[in-house]
Amino acid sequence: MPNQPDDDEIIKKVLCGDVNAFEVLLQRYRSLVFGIVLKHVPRDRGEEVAQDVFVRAYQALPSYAGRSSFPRWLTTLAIRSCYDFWRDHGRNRELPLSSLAQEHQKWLDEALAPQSREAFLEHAAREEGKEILRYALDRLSAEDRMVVTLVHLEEHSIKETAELLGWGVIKTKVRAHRARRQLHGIVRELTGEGWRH
Amino acid sequence: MNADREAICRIEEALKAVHRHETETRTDTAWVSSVMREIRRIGIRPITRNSDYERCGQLVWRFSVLSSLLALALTVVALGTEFSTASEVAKLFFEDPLAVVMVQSLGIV
Repeated sequence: MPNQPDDDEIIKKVLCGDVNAFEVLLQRYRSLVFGIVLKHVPRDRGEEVAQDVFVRAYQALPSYAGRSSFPRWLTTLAIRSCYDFWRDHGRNRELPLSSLAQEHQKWLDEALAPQSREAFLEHAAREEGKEILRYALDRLSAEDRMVVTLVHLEEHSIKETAELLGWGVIKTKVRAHRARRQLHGIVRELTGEGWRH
Repeated sequence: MNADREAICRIEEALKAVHRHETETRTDTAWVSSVMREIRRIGIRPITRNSDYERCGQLVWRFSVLSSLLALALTVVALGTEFSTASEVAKLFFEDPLAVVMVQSLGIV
C-alpha cells in the first residue's frame, strides 16, 4: 500500500490552492463525522449537517494551525455544527405525551424489569427506545440537549464538553446539572401514570 | 422516593444504551461529490490566511479584560488618594508660582 500523505501535508496543499486535495481529508474522516453527527441530529438531516461540517472545516482551515490533531479539531466542528442545528430548529415543547403509544410504555416497563445484560442491550436497540430518547431530547433547549447528550449519554468529562462546545467549565457544570434534572423530570413524567391510556 | 430514583436511573441507563446503539449510515459517492462541488464553488478562499490587521484585532480583544481591570484599579487608587485637579493647581501655585505661569502660558491648565 503506498504511503498516504499525513493530514498536515494535505492541509498545506489545500492552503496552497489545491482544492481537490481536500477530498482526501473528506474520505479519511467522513466516518468520524457521520458517527458524531448521527448521534446528535435526526438521521434524515445527517448528510446535510455532515456536509456543513466539512464546508466549515474547509473555510476555517487557515485558523487550524495544527494546535490539536486534525480529527480532534474536526470533532469540535462537528459538535458545534450539531449545536447550531438545534439552535436553528429549536425544541419541540409541544410534543404531546399521547404521541407515544402502548409499545413505548411496554418498552419503559421492560427497561425497569430485571434482565440480563444481553437482554437489556437487545431491548435498548429497539425502535421504541430511540423514539422515547428522541421525545425526551426534543423537549430540551439546544444547550440542554447538547450537554445532556455529551455529559450524560456519551459520558464526556465536563472539561471535554466545555472544550467541544466552546463554553466555560462552570457554565458547562451548571448546565449539565440543570439539564439532567430536566431529563429526570421528563422520565418521571413518562414512567408516571399521567400518560397511560 | 428511592424506588422512584432507582426507576429513573434504570431508564436513564437504558436511554444511554439506546444512544450508544445508534448505527452509522453508509455515505455514498454522490454525497462526497456534492460536498466537493460545494468546496470547489467556494474556491481557494482558505489560502487567505489571517491578515495582520485581523491578528492585531484579536490581540486587542485578548488584552481587553486586563486593560479594563487596570483602568478600574487606577480609578479606585485615584479616588482613595483624594486627587483633584483644583487642589493640585493650588498646591503648585503656592509651592512654585513660576511653574504655574509656565503651565498657563502653555495652555495646559
